[in-house]
Amino acid sequence: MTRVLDLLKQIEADPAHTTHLVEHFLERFGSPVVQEGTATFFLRGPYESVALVHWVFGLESRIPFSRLPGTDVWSLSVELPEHARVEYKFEVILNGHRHWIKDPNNPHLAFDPFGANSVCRMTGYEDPSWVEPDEDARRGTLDGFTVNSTVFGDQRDVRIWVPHEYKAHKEYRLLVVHDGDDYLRFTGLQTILENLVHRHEMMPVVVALINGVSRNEEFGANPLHPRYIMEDLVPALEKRHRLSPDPRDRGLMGASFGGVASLWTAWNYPGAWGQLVLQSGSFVFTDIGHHGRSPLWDPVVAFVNEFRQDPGRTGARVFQSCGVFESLITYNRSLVPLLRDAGVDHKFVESRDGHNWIGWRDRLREGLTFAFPGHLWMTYD
Amino acid sequence: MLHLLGPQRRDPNLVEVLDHLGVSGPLVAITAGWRHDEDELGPLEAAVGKVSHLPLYRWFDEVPDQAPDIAKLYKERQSRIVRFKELYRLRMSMGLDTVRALVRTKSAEPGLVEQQIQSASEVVRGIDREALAAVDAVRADYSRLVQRFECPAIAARRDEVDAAIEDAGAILVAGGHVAVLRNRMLFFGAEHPIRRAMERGVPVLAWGAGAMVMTRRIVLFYDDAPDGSADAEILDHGLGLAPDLVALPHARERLRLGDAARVSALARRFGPDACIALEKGAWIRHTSAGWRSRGPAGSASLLLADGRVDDVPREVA
Repeated sequence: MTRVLDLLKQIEADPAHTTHLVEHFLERFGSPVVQEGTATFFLRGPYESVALVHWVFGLESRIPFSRLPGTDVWSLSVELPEHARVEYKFEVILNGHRHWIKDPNNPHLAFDPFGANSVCRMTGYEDPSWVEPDEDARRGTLDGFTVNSTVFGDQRDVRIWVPHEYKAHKEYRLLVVHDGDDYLRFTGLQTILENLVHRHEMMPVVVALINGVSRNEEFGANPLHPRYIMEDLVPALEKRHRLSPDPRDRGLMGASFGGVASLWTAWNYPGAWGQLVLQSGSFVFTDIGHHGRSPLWDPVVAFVNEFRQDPGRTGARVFQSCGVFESLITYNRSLVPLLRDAGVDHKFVESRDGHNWIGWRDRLREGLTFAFPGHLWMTYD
Repeated sequence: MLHLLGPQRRDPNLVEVLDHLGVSGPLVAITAGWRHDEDELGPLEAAVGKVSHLPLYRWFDEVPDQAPDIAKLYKERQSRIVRFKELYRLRMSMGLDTVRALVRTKSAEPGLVEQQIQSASEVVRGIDREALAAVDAVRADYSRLVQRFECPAIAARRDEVDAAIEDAGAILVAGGHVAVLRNRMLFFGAEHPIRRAMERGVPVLAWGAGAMVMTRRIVLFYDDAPDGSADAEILDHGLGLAPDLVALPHARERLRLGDAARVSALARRFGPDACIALEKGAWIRHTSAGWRSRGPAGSASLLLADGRVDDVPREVA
């Protein structure tokens, strides 16, 4: 806070130059200013009001700014923990019209299927080194093909990533990734796979990247989805690649409803899938009464309630991650003792992040190396 | 003469070194560290020309059919070693935790703390020494394996190794899986003909796991493993052909070389052997003055007990 307090003192001493002082301050430090567990946001403009809009469960969803007297400078200080990463926008009202805008003084952006958000990075948060392209890592190949789905009665595009060292005669492990295009686009999954394989942190695998057509309906504990995976997708993949039949060499991954789809598939075919990477799974359940969400959640809640009665049924090892700023954190945490008590080989990781693609990206190294650990301690090229 | 090189995957310097040495005669290649890919010699041969390959990985896979009793005993012995290693790791990490706790201790008497750090570090060094002794003791329980060459099929392979190396103009030992490479080389007795070849002045060029296997003690290391484990550990004895050295290939990628405390801890733990980082372009060899570099600056670095990382001194022509 020292920098902000210094600024406020300067403004108090020279209120006529508030705008200039703030401009100079923003040029020097950008926005938000992060110091000692506090993020201070600034915005200049002739607005009627400004509020911080964010997706941190537990904080007021719109936090109003204050205007520095006699100026068009708006500011807001929010306490946030170290290592936190928070995506946000500003909600401004101008001439009676409400708009959401990105922070014009913050170069850090995060992208998702809905556009982009500004990002507040608290002290201790850094982009992991393994998300950046490594010039020594050899590029794999991203290809695609179409699956004729008898289950859904349509055709579905599937992308396939194979590592650089891929050879058609060799047998590979398989990872099926739900929301594959979004993982590629918003987490840089291809670069991450190439880096982890290059470092021998992860075994070389064949990765099938799939997308739902009616995504939420298909991924939300829909009985057709596991059948599509087992009856359409896997046989099509096995025609194209030599895949290890050992269930320990087969994994499913997904985030949010993609996490549900992964667990649901393994649940419906016990013993068929040995590895699950579940990121911010939408594992909403009820102990009593209605879940209070839309009907889309009915089959999800029914499934998770059933899953809680027999958490070891899939036979899979489970990597589970969730952001502490998500409403789903409580549901995810609640599964931990159940999985542990059922003797499931299980790892749960929390992060100070929300329900977003960068939060999921940042946990991919832990998840992928849990599911398909490489010989990193033993391999020295 | 033994030449240890940096990683050869990108921008290799193997050809340059071979050219410089003016090698004549066949190149014998050991690539067992590549495991099931050991026969994929295309890129290597594209660079250095045809090699005489010793497929130790494949040969070892044939042993269960040729000598099932040997294969069974070998597997049993390796399982015991693996079980012992789990106990070793437990003792070692607790020992290192103590050292780290002492390093973090602030005291009005820094001399006293330093004394305790030295003492705790010696405990870890003792655990490392005991680990090697314990592995030796497990091996001693399997004396039948020492007589494995009484099996004609295994003896024939050993003879193939001997003959190939006897005729070699140079011997290449590639990287890969260090335990597999070490175990296969020792199983077929490759250390003896390689030592004799070195004594005859035949160049031996080793990189990655190959360089590690040449040393007296093989040290596994990775400071930032995804599962959080970070303590270097002794794998086993190496072939003992590279004196006074702990080889650390890819150290820039695998170690926090900017963390003086970690560098110092590693150097102290494995001293007086020199802990040498071997990066792309590295080329070192042992001289009467110790290890000397023939590669570019920064390619081979010495980890020092005071936490610094210095270039390995250049060899004076």
